[in-house]
Amino acid sequence: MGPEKFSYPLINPDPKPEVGKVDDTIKKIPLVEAQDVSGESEKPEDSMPSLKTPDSLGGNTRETNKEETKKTGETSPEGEKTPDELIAEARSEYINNFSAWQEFKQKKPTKELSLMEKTNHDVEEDTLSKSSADSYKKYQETIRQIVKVELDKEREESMKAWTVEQTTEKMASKQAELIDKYVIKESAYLEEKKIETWPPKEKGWWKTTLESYSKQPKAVKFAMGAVVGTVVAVSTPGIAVGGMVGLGGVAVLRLARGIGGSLLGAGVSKLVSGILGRDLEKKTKQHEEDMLSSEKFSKASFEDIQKQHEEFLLKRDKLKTRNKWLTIGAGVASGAGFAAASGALENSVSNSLGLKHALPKEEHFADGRAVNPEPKSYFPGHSPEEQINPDLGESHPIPDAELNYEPSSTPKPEGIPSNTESTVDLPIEVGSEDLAAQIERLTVRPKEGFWQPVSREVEFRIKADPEKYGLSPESVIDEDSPELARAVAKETNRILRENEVIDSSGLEKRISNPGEVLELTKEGEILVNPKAVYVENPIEIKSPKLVTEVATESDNESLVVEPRKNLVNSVDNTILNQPAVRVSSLAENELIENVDSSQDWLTADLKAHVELAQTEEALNSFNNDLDLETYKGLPLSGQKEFSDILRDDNIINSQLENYENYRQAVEQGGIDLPENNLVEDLKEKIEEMREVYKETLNAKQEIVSELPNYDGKIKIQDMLRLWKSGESANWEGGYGDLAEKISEMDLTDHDLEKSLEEFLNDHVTQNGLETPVVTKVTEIPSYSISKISEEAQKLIDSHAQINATKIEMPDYMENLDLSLEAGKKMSLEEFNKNFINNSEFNSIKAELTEICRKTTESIKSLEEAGHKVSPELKDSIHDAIEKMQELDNLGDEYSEAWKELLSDIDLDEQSYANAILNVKDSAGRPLVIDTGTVLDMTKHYTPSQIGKFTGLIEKVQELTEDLTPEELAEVRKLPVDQLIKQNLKL
Amino acid sequence: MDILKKAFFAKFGLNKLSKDKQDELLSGIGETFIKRVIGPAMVNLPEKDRADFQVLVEDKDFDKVLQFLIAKVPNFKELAAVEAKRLQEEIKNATGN
Repeated sequence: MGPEKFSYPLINPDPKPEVGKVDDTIKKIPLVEAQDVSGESEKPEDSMPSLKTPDSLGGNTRETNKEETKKTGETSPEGEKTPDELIAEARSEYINNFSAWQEFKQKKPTKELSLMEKTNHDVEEDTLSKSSADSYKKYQETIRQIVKVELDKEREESMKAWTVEQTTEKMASKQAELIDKYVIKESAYLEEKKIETWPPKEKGWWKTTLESYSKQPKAVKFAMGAVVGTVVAVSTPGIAVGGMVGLGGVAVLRLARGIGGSLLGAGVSKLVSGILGRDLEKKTKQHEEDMLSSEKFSKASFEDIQKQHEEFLLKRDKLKTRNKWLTIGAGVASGAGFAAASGALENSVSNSLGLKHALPKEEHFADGRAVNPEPKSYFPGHSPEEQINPDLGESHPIPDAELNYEPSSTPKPEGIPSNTESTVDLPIEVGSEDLAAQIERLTVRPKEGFWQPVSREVEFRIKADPEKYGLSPESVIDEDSPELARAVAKETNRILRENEVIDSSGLEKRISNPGEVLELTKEGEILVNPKAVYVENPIEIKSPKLVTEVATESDNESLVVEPRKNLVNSVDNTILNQPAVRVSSLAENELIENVDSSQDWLTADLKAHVELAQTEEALNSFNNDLDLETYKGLPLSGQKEFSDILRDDNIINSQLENYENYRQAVEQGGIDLPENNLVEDLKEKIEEMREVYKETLNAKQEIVSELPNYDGKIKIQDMLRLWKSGESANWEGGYGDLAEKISEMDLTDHDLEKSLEEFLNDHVTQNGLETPVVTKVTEIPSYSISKISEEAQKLIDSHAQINATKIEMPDYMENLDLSLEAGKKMSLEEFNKNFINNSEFNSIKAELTEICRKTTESIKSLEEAGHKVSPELKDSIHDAIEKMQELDNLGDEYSEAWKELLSDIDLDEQSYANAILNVKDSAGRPLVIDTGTVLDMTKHYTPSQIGKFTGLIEKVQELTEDLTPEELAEVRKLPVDQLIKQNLKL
Repeated sequence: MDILKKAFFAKFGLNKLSKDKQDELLSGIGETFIKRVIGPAMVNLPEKDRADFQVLVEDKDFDKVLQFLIAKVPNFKELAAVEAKRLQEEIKNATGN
């Protein structure tokens, strides 16, 4: 048999999944080959990365893929795709788009783009990016759709055969399987594909690292995964930040906080708002309070209630349809007679809704399945087999059309007979609606005693057959007929007496439970559950007490049965603590009929919902506050708030119970609640909060008690003071970032000094320092946090300066070298112009001088604090200072050279033109002479002149033979005074 | 830690899973996270730090690995935040929540 085709709702609007086989097939189809089937994916041999994902990381192998591809391809009919094929298509599209985008990004333009070209380039990149994002969404949506189908099917199957608890476990197990398949394994494959887009070198590095990882023992990898998985877990929205207390790893904590902060937003903002007065939370709380206030609540929630009500009506209709076949199915399966069928119906519906509680104790298989999930009658001697009574009347075969699923496809636990071909004979009307209605009549509703359901059934029977009760048919037409009322009261009284519900004086002595369904004997007599609790002191009931008397009265109004308020009130807590056994019937009551009356119920439960939301808000708020208090190091603060929140556990528990009932009832009606885990979440949160609080409290107390001396306590007080200073107006100008960082310290590690040290070192690391700023906080003479922070800040600044210098110095040094080189070749005039009198150069030089000064101080400061500073950096600073001095001195060197020459010249002798020229030359003489310079000079000066200046007579002679006499004469025409003036500007 | 895990699994309706299965799932999620975030982040490590990183991985102390990446890889937290969010969405998707 080929793989099962799983109809995808978006593709095939008429899915007919073959129950019980789909999942297995799906599981066997790996991700890779499905992609191949799509026809759009890369060829495995070509496109699969050379690096195979290790099995431990959930990767698939090519061999398996190919084999599975073949399987899938062989059996997939045209036009019908398996979930894997659908996912493969979406995945393939995503990979292609992602790869195209990445490739585009990696292609750098070989030339400078024009504005138009750049615009086109940007547009194309945006388009590719968007395509990638869109296809990712589509891919995820495909998964979501398929998951939904799989989960719905699993849920339906489970509910047919398993108890609520078992169904929940199975669903969780299924979800885990889906996560493994659609998140972990899909991701593993996708990541491989993404890595394909990396440059070869990086790919190789990744491979090496991954191999290192994969070499680790499984237990180690498991532990690593768990550590990192915790980061994801902690950063999940909705998980209290306070819960981070107790995390093992420093980095996990830090990363989780980082991620949590950026993801949650509220986590951080709440902390901030906690500091600044928590305005936001106050507003939120006020809003919730407004919602709950009587006027605003009713007004604001009216539309919501209306909306829920409309949904409720729709779902009720849906439920009715479902119950119809469920009812009939149950009747058919059991072959029950009327009385038995009515009991079976309730159980059947309960079963179908996953509620086993209404049944007598069952036998179970070893694996927990019920041996016989079919309903058992409450009635003695009415086992399902016995209930088949062909003599009871006309049989009622069930139309196929009313079965909206295929019974044969339903897997049944071993030992359960298939009775689908049986028919049921019922003594009276057998419409499923009638049966359901009877069940509903016989069900004890909230705040009812036994009187009400009995009287409802009695009234129904009297109306159905008035003559049997001595009444004329006409007398029961009018609802307010006194004859009818009297007859109902009389009969009800009789039944209750016979069932020992009331004593001879009319006092009720047994407790009813909402949701309880009264039983019927084989003859159709109403029975009160023999297990109903007897009260020790019978409670007087206003009207029922007078039932006997009332039955003879003519005042109709006195027959109105009053709810047994006293009794109900007295057992309210008992009701709250009852198991969910009544919920099924409660749901039936509320969902099948009497929608109008459910309005109040919905309203009340909506209020409960809001109350729960308030509680949740309070818990979250408290958790955040607790987190904040933890930072503060306050040992006992928060206690009051904690006790306020939990001052009455019963209130919270009642809220939870109420909401749980509401949730279950509505869910049974098929209404999807947005937060169907609210109760569980809250319970978890309460437990978490208790534990966190306890843990925090202990930690804080330990901090205080373990601090060896007074100074330690001072530290905490200083920290507190510091923190408080943050709440003042000068927070920004106070300790700023440092205080904020300190506030992030986890004091619950019981080691304050370690925390401080760690913080300081971290802070140093974050600032790019190579050595710890403060090796031991305890070495600082005072524990005062302000001094610590001051000291730390000073050293941090020093390191920051050094780091900045390290970065900037190479540029400065390069410029210095170039300047020196150029300056030495310039004439004095040029030199003055370009350097000495150049404001830009002077500004740069001033910057460099300041950097050198600050760096020198920083070096000194750090060395005094016992830290090492790299010798290269020190040399660099020294070199820079020297070169700047050299540059500064360059002009002086020129002047000195000129003065030296000038001292040898007799300015009175005009004939000493050559000497004057020497003066000129001296000003323009380069400090470093090379062949090029000499060649250039020979155009203007005689070889002997040049030779004299340079001491390279012979060489200059050679090089300047072609200097013409005219050229020399031209030079000599310059007036001497002008030459002197020009060169004496210095 | 257990509290966190419980909260996490409750969030996705998985609190009925056995502890072993929860641990296994969390480990798998963690590995996915490693591949998505830490892998690419490692590639962005400066060449000079890669050998050190290799040693840390082999030392089996993943908390130190994380510390190292936080210190050495620019925007590591941001990268991790983006991927964590995406992963959470996918988990939510795959659990029908």
